[in-house]
Amino acid sequence: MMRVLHVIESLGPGGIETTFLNVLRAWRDAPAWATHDVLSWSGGALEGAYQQAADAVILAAEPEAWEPVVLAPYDVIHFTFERCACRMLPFAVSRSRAAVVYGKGYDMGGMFRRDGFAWQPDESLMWGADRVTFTTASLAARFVAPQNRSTVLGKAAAVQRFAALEPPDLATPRRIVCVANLHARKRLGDLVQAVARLRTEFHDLSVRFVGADDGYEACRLGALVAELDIVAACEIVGRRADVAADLAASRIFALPSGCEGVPTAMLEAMAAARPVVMTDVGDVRSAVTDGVEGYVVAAGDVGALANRLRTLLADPALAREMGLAGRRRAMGHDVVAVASRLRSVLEQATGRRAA
Amino acid sequence: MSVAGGFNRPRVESAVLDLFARIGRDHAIDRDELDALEPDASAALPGMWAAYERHWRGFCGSRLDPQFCHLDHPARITGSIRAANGAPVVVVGTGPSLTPALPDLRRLRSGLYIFTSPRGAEVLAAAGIVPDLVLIEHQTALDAQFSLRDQSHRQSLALSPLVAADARTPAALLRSVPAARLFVPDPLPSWGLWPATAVSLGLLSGARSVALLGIDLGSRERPDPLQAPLCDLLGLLATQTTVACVDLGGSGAPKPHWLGATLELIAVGGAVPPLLLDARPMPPAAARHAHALAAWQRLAPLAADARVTFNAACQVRDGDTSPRGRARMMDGFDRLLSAGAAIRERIDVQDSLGASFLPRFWRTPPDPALGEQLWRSAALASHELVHQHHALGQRLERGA
Repeated sequence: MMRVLHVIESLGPGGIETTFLNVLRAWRDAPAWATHDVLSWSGGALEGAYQQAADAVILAAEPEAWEPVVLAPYDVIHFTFERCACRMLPFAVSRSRAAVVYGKGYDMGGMFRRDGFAWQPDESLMWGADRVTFTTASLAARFVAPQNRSTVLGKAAAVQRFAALEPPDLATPRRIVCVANLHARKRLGDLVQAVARLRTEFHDLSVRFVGADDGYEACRLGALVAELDIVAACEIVGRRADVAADLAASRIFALPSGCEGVPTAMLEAMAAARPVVMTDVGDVRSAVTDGVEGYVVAAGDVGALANRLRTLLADPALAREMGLAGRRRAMGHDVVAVASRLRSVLEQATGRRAA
Repeated sequence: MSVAGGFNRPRVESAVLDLFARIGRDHAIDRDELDALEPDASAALPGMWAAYERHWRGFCGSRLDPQFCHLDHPARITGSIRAANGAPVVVVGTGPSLTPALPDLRRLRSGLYIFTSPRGAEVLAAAGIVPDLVLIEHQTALDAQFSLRDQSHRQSLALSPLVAADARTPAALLRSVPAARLFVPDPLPSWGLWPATAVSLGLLSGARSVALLGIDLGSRERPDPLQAPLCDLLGLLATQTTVACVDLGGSGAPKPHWLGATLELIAVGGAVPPLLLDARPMPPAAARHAHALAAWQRLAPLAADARVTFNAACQVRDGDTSPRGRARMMDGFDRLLSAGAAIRERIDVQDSLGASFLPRFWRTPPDPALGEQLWRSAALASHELVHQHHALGQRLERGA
């Protein structure tokens, strides 16, 4: 049995944390092939779920706490997130005999690299690792990583959980749902403005924001909602452990973000057969074709956002058709397949499986 | 001259703040190097060095500029600030303790100086408060990019009377700041954590008291373990100064050696005059360029060693376990590791190239018992060095 240490920055409700939790769950539900310990700098809303999915969860922010963990006799250490890798990977490779895998997803370094900003340490970390994984081929193309040692895993989401939801129909409330952590970079105010414009045509239209607040954004959003006089049409409900009910009670999923990779929440909404209105950021287009599963508009273009939402609100049949197309496409992102590919990479890193 | 010279600070205290700044620059890899430089601060050195080792393993990376932003910094002046008549300084963050204190802060605003971050300035602006000083300091280039994409604080920056922007700040982040209000703080006593830097600037400014508000570091019941380094730093600063250090965020995590108090107790009666800025011209872009070019040229032999080491490490990784292949890698890696013995090369690699991995190996050397498995650390350090040297060369070709 392999012993694997997975290093992750936090156990908060972010995209990478959620995705990797789903990978751990997929491994847990399959025949055992390794022990999985998770080392994180800090806890968070997903801590309990991680404790159930992993063999051990170790929270250690300080070197004197995490260094002994890294030096324990693991076969492979798997780093996610550039920050914890930048801090801990040099220690691991210079003091431990464990193989090292660096997983490059849409952390800050990944998102910014996709947008043309190259942070050199990120790439150097890849050359100090035995294997490198990338979430998408587009992301991989942005880095010069060791040839024959890099694998594109694909974006994973626990899409099966949402496949049983009925597509929206006329009985579904005329509601737009946005699932995202509340942060300025998500540009949630753009959606508020779009809804305010559309309320003149669709008097029963509402929007629901689901996601953890960063401590300030909910206030800013609330002020905008009050200023636009749509308090009755806007809900900011905070983080949910399960967003299925929110998706089921909405006709459209919209995310006006200015900075993304391939959003997990978008794939979950697609699996729930909700048409999506997204911004053209990160690798959103790797999962959504404009006009097929929904629409893709320029970030910050409130007019275009409102227009696309209007189209879907005015034509429920089209919304249903796009929702079902999204469901079909989302099934290609099932976490089970990605978990299997990551397992292969971890085994290759230790020489237990041929590349 | 000490960094606090002329600001009515006791000499020993000035030396201690000098020492704090020196450690944060990461130029020393051995405590004794600092002991020799700062005899007046020798009593403070063990505690500071212990914190530096404990939290950062002797390298906080606070001066790394891997994007070479200092070459394009738009500030025309550099210098240090002075609090008139020793008026109090409040360092304001955006933690939960800020919101309930905003009415008092607004009411007593005229009797104190407010230092904050760009985000703090934005929150204060929403409450109708303009800070006296906005400090822009990011831990890493990634954090700076993050700020660059979240330009919501642009307007509040434009309003601030003084903006102190670390030399590593991307120029694009400063576009909204009028040139007359923008300066590079020098000295910048920093370990990369802006609240501690702001406190240090407050101590250097000659303020009689320095207070924290909205710098919560978790809650009283549950301190945030990620904030332990900042908590320690704040404690260190408080123990090394005769200035009253006051924590106004009662709901936040306890901060050792910071006294609880209220705004009423620290604000002075009447209005404090504007902060004074002892300004000097910034070295012009051409001079910064020439300085970087000289470092780039000095580093050329080391970069060549790094290139050889990198190729050898990749060959070992790919299965070349011959004694010759391994020796080539180890010889090259040893040359890189031994470069850390010379302070000039240390400064060049860190400050001019913005490289981080080799400097860390200078502090925490790889385990030689790993043998050929050292290809990982050799590849990691040499790859960064080669690429940063190349990137700096490309940047310099574009001119000043």
